[in-house]
Amino acid sequence: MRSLYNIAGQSIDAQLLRRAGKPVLTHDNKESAINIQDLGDDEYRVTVGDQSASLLAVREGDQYFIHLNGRNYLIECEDEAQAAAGGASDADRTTATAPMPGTVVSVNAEAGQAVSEGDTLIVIESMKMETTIAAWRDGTVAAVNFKVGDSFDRLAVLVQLEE
Amino acid sequence: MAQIKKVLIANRGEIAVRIIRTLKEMNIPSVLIYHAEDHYSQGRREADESIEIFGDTPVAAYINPDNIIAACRKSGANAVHPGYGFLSENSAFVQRLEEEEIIFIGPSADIIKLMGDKISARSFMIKHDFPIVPSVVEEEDPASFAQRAKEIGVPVLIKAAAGGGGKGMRIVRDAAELESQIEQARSEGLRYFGDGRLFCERYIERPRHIEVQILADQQGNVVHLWERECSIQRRFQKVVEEAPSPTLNDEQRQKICQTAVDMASKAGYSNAGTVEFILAQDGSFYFLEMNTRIQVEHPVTEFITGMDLIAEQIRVANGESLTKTQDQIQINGHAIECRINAEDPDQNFMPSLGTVHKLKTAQGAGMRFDTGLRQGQAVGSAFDPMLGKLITHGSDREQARNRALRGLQETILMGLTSNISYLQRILSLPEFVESDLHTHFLEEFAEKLGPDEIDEETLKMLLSIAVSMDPQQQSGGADIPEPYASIGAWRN
Repeated sequence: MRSLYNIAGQSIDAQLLRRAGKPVLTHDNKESAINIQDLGDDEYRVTVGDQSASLLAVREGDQYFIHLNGRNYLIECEDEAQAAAGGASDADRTTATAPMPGTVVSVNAEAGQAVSEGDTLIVIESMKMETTIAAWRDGTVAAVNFKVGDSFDRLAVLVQLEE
Repeated sequence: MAQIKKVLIANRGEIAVRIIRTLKEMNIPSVLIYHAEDHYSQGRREADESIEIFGDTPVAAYINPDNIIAACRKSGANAVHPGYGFLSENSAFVQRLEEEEIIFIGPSADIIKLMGDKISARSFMIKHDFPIVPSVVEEEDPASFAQRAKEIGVPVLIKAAAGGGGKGMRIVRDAAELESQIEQARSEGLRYFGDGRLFCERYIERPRHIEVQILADQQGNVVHLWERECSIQRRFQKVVEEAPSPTLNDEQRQKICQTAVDMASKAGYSNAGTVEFILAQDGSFYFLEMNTRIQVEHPVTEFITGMDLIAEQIRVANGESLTKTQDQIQINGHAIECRINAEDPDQNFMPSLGTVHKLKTAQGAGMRFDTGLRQGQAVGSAFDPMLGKLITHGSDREQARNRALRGLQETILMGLTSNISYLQRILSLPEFVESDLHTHFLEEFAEKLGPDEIDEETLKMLLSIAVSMDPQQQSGGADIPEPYASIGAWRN
């Protein structure tokens, strides 16, 4: 079973295997023997090859929060379809999705309207910060799915452009 | 004279907890208002009483004066501490409290009105010959505003008269953009403050932000508690603050602090307040604004002076005289505050939301962690992204800085993305160590402050724990002995 792990914007292929009953990490065509000891209270002693360290780790769905050597890391597990979607170029993309939950501050475009790259389509607000969603290419607006004052969740489709 | 018997805190988050702690130490009962979003907050756990409030939005609940007055009546609280933000600088609210004979822990409605409006504050300072930056006010002649703004010469700063916290504020470097930027600043001013009036001032390049903490009693005594430097800002929001300023020499320090005292005296100020200045590269300084409330960054001043600013505010509101004279207030060492925000600096500071699954704050000498957050609490989009503040104190700046770095390393916050690593990068930059600060420091060094490289060993550690906890790896692989199977099942 292969999975992609997104660390700091980079998708990394990694796999848990077993060799002679022992767990092995496969990554970048290299195998490393690993050992993980559960110390309780979300703390683990992780040994990779001849390196060993204590860390804190919490999994929440597809997200892994890890504290190692005084740094906080976030790893997101992606399935392969997700990873592929992330790679769609702006030229092909038809939807603008919400990067975070929030509310709509202003709607600056309507269905049927022709827009140029950079035109403001919709302005959203989250945690008192405004974010402008601008046209990512020239095109025609297919739909604006929210009106001023509406709230939405992360990944909601805010605006669609015709193909 | 009315005596403060019970205090209602008209706020939330870390500042609510901060105020409740001082009230406890003064043996004054506390009442906290809370919206359902804050049902599980640390403030509710620590307050003697809490009263639920309602509104169209969570913020609307906290800024409705009727909610606060009703909660005072219900609980018998005869004083209100407003904290910062929300109604803390709303003169109409303070006026209402005065009419209802509820003590406001802060200055009078008149002073708030004078200083809260940037235009009236500016006129006041001009009238009394205090230094201000060259500027023009829209309402003096709205038709010629854009033209007069152009005449100041770019770069200029457009500001909402009622603004604060960087909202409704824009730098314009290209005169051709002036008119469109004016309209955007106006729309922000209207939306955030219900007030679209603007003014425009000359923008000073590489300025430093220096502010002076003032304390004044109702008997007319005014002292300063020295200055803070808050030049490390992002979009006009302070990120790292320190006291004293690492650049001022003694002469400059005396001059700027005395100017702030003179301004407060002239205005007949009482209670705690902060006079903010812009310090130019040539050492000249100009009045920026006066904040008529406790500030987020007040703990750095508390560390270097040993005074409890909230306690001083309460005593002054109670009609008592200041406990210290100016020469009894000395600077002891150096303090640094880091604001920990729910945002991802590596993705254009996108706000981050989630549930706090694990929270462990740093401990040890010279360290303080102010937060209203609890493990298990959900951080939503309704409020600003500040989760807490790490404040450290040392005998000098370098010790305070190293303590802050240790504190950040030891701060464990899991469940959402925070700016903790980013703060570590700021404090480690040679230019920060050298105190070569200005308010666009974070933009200037944006590249150096980018994400850290993850070395191969660290990466393997991270991947090892991830694959071991990943339920997909468990189901797809061969039999995996304990403890790996149980690790993956930890949380669904």
